[in-house]
Amino acid sequence: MPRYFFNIENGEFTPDTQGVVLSGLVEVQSQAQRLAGEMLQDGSARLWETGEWRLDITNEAGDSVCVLNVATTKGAE
Amino acid sequence: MSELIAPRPEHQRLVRKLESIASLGAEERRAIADLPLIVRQVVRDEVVVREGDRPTQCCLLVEGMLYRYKVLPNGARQILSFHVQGDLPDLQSLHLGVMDHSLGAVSNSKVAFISHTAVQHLIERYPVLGAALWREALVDGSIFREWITGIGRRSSYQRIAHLMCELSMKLQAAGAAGPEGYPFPITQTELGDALGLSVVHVNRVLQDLRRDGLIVLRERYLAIPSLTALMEAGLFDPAYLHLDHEGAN
Repeated sequence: MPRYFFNIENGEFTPDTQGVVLSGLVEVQSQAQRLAGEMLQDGSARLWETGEWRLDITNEAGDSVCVLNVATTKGAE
Repeated sequence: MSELIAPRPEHQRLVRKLESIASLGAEERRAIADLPLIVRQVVRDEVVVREGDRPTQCCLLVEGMLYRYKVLPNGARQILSFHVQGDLPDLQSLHLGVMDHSLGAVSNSKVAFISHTAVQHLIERYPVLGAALWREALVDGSIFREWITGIGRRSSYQRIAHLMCELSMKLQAAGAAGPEGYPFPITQTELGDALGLSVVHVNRVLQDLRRDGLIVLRERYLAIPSLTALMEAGLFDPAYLHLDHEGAN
């Protein structure tokens, strides 16, 4: 089974150096939405520091498999 | 799977466990030493007791690691607890006839089975042992309360650190490890299923813990440079493990 890397960009780029072995795109998408949810929920996404959070999943060749973007919009104080 | 008549070390494990939760006299020690035990080797991922089973015996973990779990109809697994040597993970089957969860092996393990009849007999003859086993069941409940609190309220980072501290404290109490680390057979998938986390998040958090110098996880061995620091990271307070005899007879 292929290995996928879950790289995070939230102002700074945090590459996933180890990766995780998953069965394919369906499992990648399932894991991506869970990871995003868990990191947003427990604050480790630090979303409001930059107002954006992006998960870029790459394969072993370094190609982007899919991207999950969380965007925010600033309103009145 | 191989069966043989138990030699002494299994009994010693049980004596040590019960001594850690109660004060045993010579008579109680002798009664434990006379318990008929059936020793069995189980391999990694083997199911020891299955949900729906009606066990007629309890098992004592002699070596290795076991876990309790439930599986939903959709196949999702929740791991409920991890067990180390000296634990009696299905003690509840003594009074609750049908297993409401399963017990499996995290690593190749050695377990010793004690018939319910023998345990009942022991409890009837030695009230101190009955109280010790009751206390053991109450501590089991306390650990579940801590896990619920963790899954509901701790961050992923804190949850993983907390579990690593829990196993360290339990292994130290069993005399199986020092504070510097212990064999860690649990996979990232199992950590995720225990702590309600996706495997990719577990993977990331392990990298964070490593980067922060709190753990070194290599070849299934977990080295802990500073247990105090890991305890702080996991908001870990060992009180819920009730390791200090307080309340024991």
